[in-house]
Amino acid sequence: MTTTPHNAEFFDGGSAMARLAHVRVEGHALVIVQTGAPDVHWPLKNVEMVFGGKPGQALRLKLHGDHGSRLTLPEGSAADAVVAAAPSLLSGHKRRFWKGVGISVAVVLGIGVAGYATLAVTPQALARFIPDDVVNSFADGLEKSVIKSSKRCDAPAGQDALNKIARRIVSGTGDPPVFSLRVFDIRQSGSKKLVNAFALPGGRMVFSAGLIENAGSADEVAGVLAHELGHVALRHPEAAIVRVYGLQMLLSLFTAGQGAEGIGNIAGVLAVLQYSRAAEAEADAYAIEVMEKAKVDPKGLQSFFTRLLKKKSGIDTAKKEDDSISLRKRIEPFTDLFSTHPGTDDRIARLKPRAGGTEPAILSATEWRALKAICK
Amino acid sequence: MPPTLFGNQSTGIPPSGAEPVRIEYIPQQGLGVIAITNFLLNLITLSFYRFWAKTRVRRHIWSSVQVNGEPVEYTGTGKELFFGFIIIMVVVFLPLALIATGLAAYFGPESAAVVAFQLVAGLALVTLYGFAIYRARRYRLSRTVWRGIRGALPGSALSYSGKYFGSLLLGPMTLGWSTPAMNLILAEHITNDMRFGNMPFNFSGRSGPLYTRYAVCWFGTMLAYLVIAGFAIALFYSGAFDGLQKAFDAIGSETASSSGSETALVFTIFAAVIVLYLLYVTIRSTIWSFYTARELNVFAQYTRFSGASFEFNATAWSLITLWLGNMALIIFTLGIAQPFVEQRIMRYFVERLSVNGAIDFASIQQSKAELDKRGEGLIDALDLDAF
Repeated sequence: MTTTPHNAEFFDGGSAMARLAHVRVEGHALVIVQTGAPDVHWPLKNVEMVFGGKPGQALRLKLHGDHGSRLTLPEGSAADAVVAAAPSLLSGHKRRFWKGVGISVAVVLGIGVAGYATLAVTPQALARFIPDDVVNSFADGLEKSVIKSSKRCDAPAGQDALNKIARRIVSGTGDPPVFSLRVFDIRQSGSKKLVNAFALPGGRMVFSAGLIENAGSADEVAGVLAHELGHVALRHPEAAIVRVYGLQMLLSLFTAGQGAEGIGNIAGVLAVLQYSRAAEAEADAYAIEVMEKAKVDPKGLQSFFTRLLKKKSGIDTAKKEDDSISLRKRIEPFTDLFSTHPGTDDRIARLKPRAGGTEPAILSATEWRALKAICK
Repeated sequence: MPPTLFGNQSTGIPPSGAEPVRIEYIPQQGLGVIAITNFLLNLITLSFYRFWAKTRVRRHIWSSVQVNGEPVEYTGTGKELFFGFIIIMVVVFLPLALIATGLAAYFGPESAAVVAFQLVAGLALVTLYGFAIYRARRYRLSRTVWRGIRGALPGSALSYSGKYFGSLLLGPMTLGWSTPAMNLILAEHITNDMRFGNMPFNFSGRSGPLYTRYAVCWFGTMLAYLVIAGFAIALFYSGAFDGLQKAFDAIGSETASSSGSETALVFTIFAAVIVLYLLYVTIRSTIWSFYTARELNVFAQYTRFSGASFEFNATAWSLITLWLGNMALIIFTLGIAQPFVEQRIMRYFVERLSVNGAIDFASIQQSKAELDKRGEGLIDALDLDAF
């Protein structure tokens, strides 16, 4: 039994009994001398501070990895001696704080990268693996929301002319994707005719009657068709479906599957069917290549673009107020392939006229008139 | 004020023998800094810092609780909570999300298959509530150390979970009247499983003494609902809803053109819904704090630990002010003051709890219960975390 005066209180982690102890630093260890129990040696490098270290505060220590034993030194010379022997004790809290910050920041960055991969990289790669059933059910829904109750325009002579344009464009592809092409008299709110073309999943192309009526030549229609065929060939609509499901996966991950109906519906697809600038550029490049091979002048697409852009900006400034309200109007820009986002000028500039123009002409004057009358 | 273990040295700590127990809350400096840094870090990490944030707050609050002059220590870490969350995400939530997404893709997002799956998955998650609560309690107890001895909850989370699910089913079936009896069963189960070191807590008693207060609150609530319903009906017949109906019609139709007054009306309706909801919650909480106070006091009375008994001094009014103060703190600081809310709750419990009788702490040995390496994943993921 030692008679050393105690300068600390020790809990050995075995029982809740408080033991008075004498503590001293000996080399690289803390030696805890208790009354009526064997001495305890704590290697200084494994000693951690629970609290204390500030003036006027007792110093509480524990041993790393030991969930029980605790040593408390009142403010004073013994505590000072321990801190002097192991100065890193005081920085332990800071280290722990920055570790937490580091891990959580890393997690967020990791999720960001994973999210980017889900939205930007994988959809294209996974697009070909979506079962036809899924593609078709989506296409049905999308078609309904695009066409609504519009009248189908299929005057036989007009449809023949359209098919002729399609055949001409297809002749420029090595391996054309499967697609269908139909015209509908789609109206905007206020029964204004919509000027647009859509590439829906499963190769379903829809042209609005307004587009045909606005076109100045068969070359223009052919250019739009080539562009849409680019989306179809590159599986952009299918990639949009993958993107919707990727987002939905994330959503339902945080809601334990309860958010499945959340965005996996038509509105969700519409929202992500807005092709990225990169996708539009890809479709343009495809169109340019195909037109080149089919000997169709890209100038048609260019002039169509320019005309549409002018018209659109005119409408936009005139009817700004009207634009902000209707749900339909809010969705339209997303599916609008000629939306006036920055970069449109670049796209137009990239469409160089073909030396010699379109040869031979795609449609005869009669066929062109028939196409214009496809809705009659 | 720092813990001064040696302040009362003249009286000396008895080497053995029973001690009376004094439990107090001594606020420490630094919670404000924790609150602000936690808030900012949660913001920039999209809340992924929350595991470390919680840990910092608990360390602070735990250490402010002193039992016989000795501070309580929280030994949990943010990493343990984080991995608890990750495990649950991978084991429970990821498979559910994959199945839900797969079903939605194959059968359509509004198909019967998706609805059925969501129903089953939702029910399965509800059966996990009790499990989550029990496991979280176990983690917290095992990370609570006093005089070098930790708490423990070595029982079966599964059997508790069964009882909890039963209480959730019985509640609506009995219009709430099963609540006191079921709460007692749950408190009895979890308290009897609780240990400090190797020393168990004991809980025994009947739910009878809770029922008078329950009946008063139950009928009081019905009365409040009737008054509110009557008020709504009166409003309806006064024609106040006509404008509302028109507004909804206008929002519903696509071709409608928006006008300033319409937006204002929508905003007014939105604000009214929030105010009504807050009013509803306030009325409900006010009435039911009379019952909660009774339950807290009775359950404390039913609890024993190593020859000591407990007394809790909850009153309805103190619970109401606690609750209102917490709401105000959260609302007016946009949640930054959350740690202070937790401190208020802890303080409320510590300051109103007294221990009668003496405990021979020297005879209490360390818990042999195994320490989980991770914690609270389920309760975090299910968003049940109250503390």
